Amino acid sequence: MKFTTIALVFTLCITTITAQAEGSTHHSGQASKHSVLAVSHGAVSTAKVASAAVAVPLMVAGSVALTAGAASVKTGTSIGDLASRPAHHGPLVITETTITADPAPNKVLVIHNKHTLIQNH
Amino acid sequence: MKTKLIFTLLALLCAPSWAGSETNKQSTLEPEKIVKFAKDVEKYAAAKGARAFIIARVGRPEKELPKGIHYTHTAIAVYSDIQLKNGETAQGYAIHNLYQRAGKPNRSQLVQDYPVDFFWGAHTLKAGIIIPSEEIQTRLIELITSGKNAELHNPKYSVIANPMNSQLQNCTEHTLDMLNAAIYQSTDIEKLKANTRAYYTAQRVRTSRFKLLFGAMLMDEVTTKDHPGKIATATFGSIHTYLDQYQLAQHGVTFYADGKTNML
Repeated sequence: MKFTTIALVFTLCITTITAQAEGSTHHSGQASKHSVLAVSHGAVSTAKVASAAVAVPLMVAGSVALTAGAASVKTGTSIGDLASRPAHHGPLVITETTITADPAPNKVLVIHNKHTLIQNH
Repeated sequence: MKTKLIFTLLALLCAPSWAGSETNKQSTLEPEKIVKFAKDVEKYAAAKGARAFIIARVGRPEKELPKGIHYTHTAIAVYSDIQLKNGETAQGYAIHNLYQRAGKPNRSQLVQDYPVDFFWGAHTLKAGIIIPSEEIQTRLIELITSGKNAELHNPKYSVIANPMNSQLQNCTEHTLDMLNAAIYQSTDIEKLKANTRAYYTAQRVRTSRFKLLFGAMLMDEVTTKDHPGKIATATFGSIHTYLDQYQLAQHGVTFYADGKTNML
């Protein structure tokens, strides 16, 4: 009894630190997330769901949006030049599509197999 | 035997709090709500014209968080051209994170994901948003585009990492290091840490040494070895205070699921 009480007291004492320890987990049910979004996206949202291949930061100066890197070379404008330009203050366009990163490599096969099973039934 | 019982009980009762880094636990919120909230956060930031902003989530019950700590994960969101696998290109925010490695909670990796991924594990649909000044936004985008943000990554992870030195790092310290790299236009970590010590005030983690001792014994991602004195770590709130103090934040809010905001 005494030792059980001590154990419970210890546990309560460290609750605070364990709570903070969620930290930066990558996150939580990523595999199940892809299943939910991929299989039932019609029910989840009226917007479509898409996986992203690559994201390239956009530099926005004035009313012109330039893709950082390749596009800036194409236009002959460096990012450094953009820093000195008048900044963009207006609203930016956001797609209605829900974009998601791919699951970790070890989760991909699991999800693929699950989808195959659903389609076969 | 009795000692074993104590440690078994401790381990069992602790596990749910940190298992998120190692297992695929289910989201505690409805997917529809997460999808909508993530898009609402994007639209809010876009309406403010934010090209790069600091974003934070709450991954634990708020009542369990130490006093003064309101968020559990912080990263940088960057307005991007996103090429989709279906061949289309869309505009939205890509989020640049430091995450703990699955199975190795005391190690981290840099991962880019998107708002719905970011909020999937949220415990509460509440986002922290800090939009830095235009110049800092531009420099953050330059830093990420050039890949130099990776030079600031220290894979040795501690959930209560001391931001005043470079021994260990967590997600919020990495965000702070990126901001300082943007401010000082340098990735020299010693220079950045010297400036951090000079100008930034970390958040005290108000918990006893006793609690920390047991946390460190049971959890790989908890250690105090990088703290010579009182325990203090980087937080979303202390980053806002820092940027605001030096007039480098143009907007800071807590954004809720109903669309309401509270100024920081």
